[in-house]
Amino acid sequence: MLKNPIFSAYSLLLLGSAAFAQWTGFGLNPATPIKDVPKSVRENPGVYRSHYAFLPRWFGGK
Amino acid sequence: MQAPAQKPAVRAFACPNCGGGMELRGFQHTRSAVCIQCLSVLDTSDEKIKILQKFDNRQRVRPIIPLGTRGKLHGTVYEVIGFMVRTITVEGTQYSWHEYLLFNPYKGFRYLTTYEGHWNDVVPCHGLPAAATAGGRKAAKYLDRTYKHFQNAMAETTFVMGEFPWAVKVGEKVESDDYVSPPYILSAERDNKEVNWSHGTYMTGAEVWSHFNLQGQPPAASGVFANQPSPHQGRVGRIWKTTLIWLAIWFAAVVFFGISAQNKLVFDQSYRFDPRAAARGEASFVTPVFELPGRTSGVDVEIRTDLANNWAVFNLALINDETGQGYDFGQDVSYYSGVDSDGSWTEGSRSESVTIPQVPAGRYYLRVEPESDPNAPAMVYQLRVKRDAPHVGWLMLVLPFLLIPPIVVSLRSASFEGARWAESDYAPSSD
Repeated sequence: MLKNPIFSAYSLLLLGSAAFAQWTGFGLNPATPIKDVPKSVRENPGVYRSHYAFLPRWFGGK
Repeated sequence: MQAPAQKPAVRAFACPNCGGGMELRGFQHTRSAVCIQCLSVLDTSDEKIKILQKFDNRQRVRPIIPLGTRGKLHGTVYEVIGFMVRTITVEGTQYSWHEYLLFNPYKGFRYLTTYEGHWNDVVPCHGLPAAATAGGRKAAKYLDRTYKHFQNAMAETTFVMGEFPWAVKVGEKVESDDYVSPPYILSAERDNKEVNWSHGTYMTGAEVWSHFNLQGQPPAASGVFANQPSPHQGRVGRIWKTTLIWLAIWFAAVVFFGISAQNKLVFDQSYRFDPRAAARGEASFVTPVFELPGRTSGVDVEIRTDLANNWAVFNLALINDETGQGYDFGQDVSYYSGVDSDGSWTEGSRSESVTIPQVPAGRYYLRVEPESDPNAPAMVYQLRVKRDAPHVGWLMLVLPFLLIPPIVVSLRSASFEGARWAESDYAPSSD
């Protein structure tokens, strides 16, 4: 590895970054963070509406 | 008392063709010389100088290292005393290279050859190379080194100047075979009487200029020469060895993250959804609270349905029961199947999953709001939540990037060798 210091540094950076991302569970988030969801949602789920609830729907088959 | 050794003297005479003054610096070794004025080739092996050949082509070639130039090679001072141009014809194209004859009264002769800015320091072989094979091809073995055959050609002497230890003649032809083992080259030259083997070592123009203290810059090297050492020599093996070490580390990391993940099922519940009933009321509901343990890591939410030729959309929110913070996301599920003229088919999947990254530990619940075609039949679905499922996506992503450097080095090395052998008898286009 000492004979290829640049390649080894490159590999270390790649693997180190991947391992860090892996360990912390880092990833592209498909979700939207939300804050201050009212406590009453547990009693009345309809007081909160998802950001995704208003999109047009159509899923056809072949 | 022993008499002191006699110092060799330069022999001077007049050219019998043009009368120009000439000096022989090769002493008794010189068998022929070329008049620098009229370029007649003279036989100097005898006291009576005879004309061997008159120069009828007035196109002179000017040696880039002038005759008489002195330089130091391997610790010995040599003088340039002869110059010749030799030419081979390959598929109708003439290729010419220059040869400089160097002489030292105590060490003898050696040659400097040059072609397209590439140089070789050439000496006669001290032993006879043996015939061999390398990779199924013709080769020669000399001093425990195997040289691969490179090229066979008829070499013709097309211009001469200075003096030579043999009876040189313009138009003289020999069959030449070159064998290479960079940075060395082995050459066999055959005529009707004998075979002469010589051994060359690649030199750069800058080295020649330095050794001979020449002014200006040497001509730039063009292309890849037969025995030019590859700048990638040894690098390919070294970088692949290093890559294997990193691949082993990568594999160990994959195993580590695979087995160290909690992969804990924290919620698993089945539900029934009737779109017709939902159209008359509120479809959304919340699940019981569940615990997400451990360090901040990902959460997998998997939805398994019994959909058949239908679709469903799940509007979901993973909400921290204590802070009211969370993540809002949606997931579509659709599954269709049938039979047509091409046979049976399916489209989509009955199960889908979403991974929410970096979710802190805490008590959470899901708000679920399913949707579907209002006329679709009721479906049963299962919600499964897993903490820290074993994903190794990032490690998989870097794998090709780990392989890029060794592949690039290998390709560059192969390209260099390809350029070298493209000029040989073994070029890919050659039969």
